Amino acid sequence: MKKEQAIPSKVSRARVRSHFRDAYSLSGEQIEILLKSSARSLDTFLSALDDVVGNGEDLPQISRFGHGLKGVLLNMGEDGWAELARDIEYSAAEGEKKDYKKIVAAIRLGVEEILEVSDR
Amino acid sequence: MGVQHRILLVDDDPAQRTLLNMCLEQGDFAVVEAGNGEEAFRVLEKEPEIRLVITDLDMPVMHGFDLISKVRESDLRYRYIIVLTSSEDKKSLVRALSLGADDYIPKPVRPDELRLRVEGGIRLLRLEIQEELILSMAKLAEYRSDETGYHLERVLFYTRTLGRDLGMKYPHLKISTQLAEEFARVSPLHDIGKVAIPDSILHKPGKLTSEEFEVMKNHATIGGQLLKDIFTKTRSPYLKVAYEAAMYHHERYNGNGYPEGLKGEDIPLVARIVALADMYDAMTSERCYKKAFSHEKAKRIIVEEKGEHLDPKMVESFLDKEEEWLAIRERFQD
Repeated sequence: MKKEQAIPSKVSRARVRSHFRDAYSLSGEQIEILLKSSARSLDTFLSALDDVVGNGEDLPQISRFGHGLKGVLLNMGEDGWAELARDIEYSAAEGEKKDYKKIVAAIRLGVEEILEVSDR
Repeated sequence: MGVQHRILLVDDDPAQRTLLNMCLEQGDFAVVEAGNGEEAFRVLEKEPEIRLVITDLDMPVMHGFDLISKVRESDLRYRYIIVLTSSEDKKSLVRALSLGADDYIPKPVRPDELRLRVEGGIRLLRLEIQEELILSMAKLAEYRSDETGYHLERVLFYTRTLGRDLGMKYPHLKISTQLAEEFARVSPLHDIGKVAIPDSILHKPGKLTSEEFEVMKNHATIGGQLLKDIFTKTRSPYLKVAYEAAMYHHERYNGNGYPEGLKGEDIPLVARIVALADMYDAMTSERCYKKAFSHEKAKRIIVEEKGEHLDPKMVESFLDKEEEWLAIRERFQD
């Protein structure tokens, strides 16, 4: 039986800003633009996942959106959360039936402070 | 002032594009963005000067694999393609490289690595520009000689046709598609030594005397030596092949050619190929000293020269691909 993945600590705007500054040497203005852009992408992938996990479990689509979500989280320096998205991507690609809805909900909760930045 | 390089960035995730754009702008690159392969291809059609593409693979509308294939099919000038992929997805990476991608950047991207890989691509494109400069020298040589019009283009296409066909028919020759392309690209340099031949001989409207012919023969060694010198300095394999074509394209399969009287397989492969391409074009073109031969007459002579002047394998390929040769001749009429 696969081990249940640990839930990382919630993502804070301060932590992401700090990662953007240190990893990419961005200016304050660029950091705010990228934070907003990342929030929008998170929202897009999470909403897409919400749609497919609640709608007949289209595994290839779940895998695709999981892959996209993983990319955004990795760019934000959130490796722990990216690992959960990776689990969605790979498990769905392998046709594994699991409670994707629960994982997506956990990620949404974990990144809620970032999602607040999104102007959607 | 330096020239700002333009890069096409293709990714369906706007956040990823924003981040890469910011990283590339730090390196003074100008970025054009596209959200999928189809959009990217439209940009490249509109802006042919964009020579460097960074693309994600998994995208809607047109996948990155299809974009790579489409760019390679339509390349008039080489475009350097870098794919964005996660380091664990080796299968996709191998497929992208086999379709024609040049390099990859693992995700998440490190800005310094991104810029270094882009700079590597720019260096390679710069080398291509140097090759184009060398080809311009060949054009200059052509302008001086009587072989005006599309002589170099026809020889290039005949060489490519021969190279590809020989590669398929004779695996032991080890002519890959890439090598056939290299043979074609160096073929315009075969007569570069003619720049050193006096006008009175180069443009003589009649038959050359034996003394004049001796001078004319020098063009092979002059061109060959020139290219060999550049090869020695640069170690570019492209120039080594160019040197072999220029130096030995007048050798004969039976050993009666010049400058060294090499025989059979001792004659470099590219020279044996260019010899036929050049000979066919010379026969079927009008020159100051002769009218153009018909294709049939040229074909008869080529068949007669099988195993004498020409490598039999080249002649067999010419006969098998005769229609392609005629189509090239038709396409590039003077």
